[in-house]
Amino acid sequence: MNENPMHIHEELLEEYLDGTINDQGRTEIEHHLDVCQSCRKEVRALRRVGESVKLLPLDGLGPAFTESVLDRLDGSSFAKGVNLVTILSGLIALVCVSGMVLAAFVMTGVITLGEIAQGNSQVHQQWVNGWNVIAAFLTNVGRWVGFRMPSPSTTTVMMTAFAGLVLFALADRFLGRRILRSQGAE
Amino acid sequence: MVDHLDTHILVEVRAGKPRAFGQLIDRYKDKAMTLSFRLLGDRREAEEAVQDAFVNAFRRLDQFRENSGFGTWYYRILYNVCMTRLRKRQTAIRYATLTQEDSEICADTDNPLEDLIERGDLQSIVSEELANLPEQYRAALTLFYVQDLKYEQIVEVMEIPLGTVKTFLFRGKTMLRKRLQRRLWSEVHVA
Repeated sequence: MNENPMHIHEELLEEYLDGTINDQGRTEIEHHLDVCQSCRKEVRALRRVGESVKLLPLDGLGPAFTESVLDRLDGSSFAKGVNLVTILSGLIALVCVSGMVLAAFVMTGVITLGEIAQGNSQVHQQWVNGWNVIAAFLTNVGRWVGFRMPSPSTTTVMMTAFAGLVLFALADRFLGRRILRSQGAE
Repeated sequence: MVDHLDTHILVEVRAGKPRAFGQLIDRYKDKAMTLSFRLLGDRREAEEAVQDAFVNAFRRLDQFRENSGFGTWYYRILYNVCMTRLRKRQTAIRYATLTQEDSEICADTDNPLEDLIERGDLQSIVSEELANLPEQYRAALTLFYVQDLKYEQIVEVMEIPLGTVKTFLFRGKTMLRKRLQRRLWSEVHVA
């Protein structure tokens, strides 16, 4: 049929059936179908193929499926950028993590409650010194590579801010949202 | 094509009610399973793919732009999950053999499908023959007839040009028709 100029190409008939052909094309095809039994037969056959696919039963999933997906979702959250929930959950988590670390130090006798209150314990000094050494090292390496590095004290501040952000994100991801979710806030 | 019920559900989910997402799952799971099963051919794997796609969709909700419609967006995720699984199975994407098979089938146009199609257990035959089509054709036909997507939406889901969608649909329908024609013709004549 496709080689016969008196008949309409199958692809055009498909577009006609799919309703994607323009008005002029549709009118021309309908005029042709009025007079051409062969093309009418072709259209009916094509239509039946489409209907046969459309009428196949769906492969359904029971209600248990929805519950199993929701169970998986309980352990995850969709990214929403920084919003109130993120900030709140991050702060809660940070407080919890800091409290646990301090409690561990106090319980093992590394630091006393009095030293914590004064804020100048030996452990604290050691941490600050260690942090400054790392900052100085990074500053020197950066300058050696050729970067324009800030002063070691600025690097210390930047490192602290960066570490805080990382801790904040981790705490938010793994702890804060769980806390909020368990309280029904999320 | 924006569905207002979907939009309403998404507002609830974003407002902090993740379990409202279950309503979206209920709305799309059966059609999703049909697409997945037709692509993967294995019920258990198809169900896993649908589940993975829903979880991925939930986690990426911030990337969803309302103008495309949740269904189309979700089917794109599902289609990608299914194609990844197919690639892992190293199922050959049979582009190379399509042209040859098409020409072979297109040469056979004498059997009157219209008469034959009235007979026999058409549903199971259509289902079997559909499953034997190349996956792109199966996907395009299922998205068009089951998911009721327009050509432009299939473009979004399969991430291929409009012309290729038309070609897949046309070749898929032609191939399916010729196979049905042969199958029904042989069944009628053998009987």
